[in-house]
Amino acid sequence: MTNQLLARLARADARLLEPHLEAVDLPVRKQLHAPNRRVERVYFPDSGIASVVANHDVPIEVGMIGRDGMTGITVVLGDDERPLHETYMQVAGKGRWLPADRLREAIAKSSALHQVLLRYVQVFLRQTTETALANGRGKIEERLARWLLMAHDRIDGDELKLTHEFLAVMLGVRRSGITTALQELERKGLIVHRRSRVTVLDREGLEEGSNGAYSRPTVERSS
Amino acid sequence: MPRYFLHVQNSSDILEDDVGQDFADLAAAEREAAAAACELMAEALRWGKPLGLQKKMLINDEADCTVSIVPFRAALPDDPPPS
Repeated sequence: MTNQLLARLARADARLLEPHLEAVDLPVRKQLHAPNRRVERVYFPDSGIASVVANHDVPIEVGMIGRDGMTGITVVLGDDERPLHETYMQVAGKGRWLPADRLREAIAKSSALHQVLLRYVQVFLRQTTETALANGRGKIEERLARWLLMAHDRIDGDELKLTHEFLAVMLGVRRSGITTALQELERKGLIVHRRSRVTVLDREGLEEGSNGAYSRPTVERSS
Repeated sequence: MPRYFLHVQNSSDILEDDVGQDFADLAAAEREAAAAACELMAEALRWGKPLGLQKKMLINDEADCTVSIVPFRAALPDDPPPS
C-alpha cells in the first residue's frame, strides 16, 4: 500500500520530497481542498479514495484520486490558480502530504520530477475527459459500472464501503437511480451489495457492463 | 430528523431502499420521491424503455410502515393549459 506516483520517482527526486512529507490519516469526508481556496498542501494518498466534487444544486464527482496520484495538480502546472471544486475523502485511507511551496521548490530543482508529475496530470486529464463522456452519453447503470471499476482499481480487496448517498453524489443522480442500477448489476451477478457495502464479483462483466465507458486502468492493482 | 425509506413498487415486485435517508419532514421525503420518480422515468425514456407510469414510490418510516405513496403518474410535471 503505497502511493504509486511517489514510488515512480527516481531516488534523487524522492530525496527532494522525503524530508517534507508527513504521514496523515485520511478519514472519510475529510476535506483536502476547499473550492476557491489557495492550495496550501498537496496530498499523496497511499490508500483510500479522494473525490473532486462540483457542488451545484446536485453535486457530481468530476475526478477520482487514489494511490495512483496526488491532489492539488495546479501546483504541478505551475500556477497559483485556485481550484474550482472541493476535494474530499470518500473512502477512508492514509497518505502523505507536503506544503505546496516545498513541492514548487523541488520542481524548480528537478525537471525529471516535474516530468513524472506532469505525466500524472495528463492521466488525470484523460480521466476527466472520459468522465465527461460517460456523464454525457452513458446510462446510469453503465456509469455506475465504470465508477465501481475505477474505485476497485484503487482499493485492496474487492469490498467497497460506500453509502447510496455517496454513490448518488459520485454520479450526480438521485439515490433511487443508484438503488435501481445496483440491483440491476447484482441481478447480473457482477456485484453484491448490502446496505453500505458493495463487493465486486466480476470485473470483466463490469467492464462489459460499462459499455466502453471504462477503457483501461490507470492504476496498478496490487491484489 | 426522521428517516424514511423510498421503495419503488412495480406491479409485481418492490425495489427496496435498504438504507434510507434523513429528511426534515415527510413533505421533504415526498418531494424527493417525486423528483426520484421523474429521474427514473427520464432515464427510461431517454433509452427508449417503457416509462413505468404504473410504478409508485412507497415512503416507509423506520417501523417499515408505508406513510405515503407517490405514484409516478402524479410526479409528472403538469403541462401548461392550452392557450
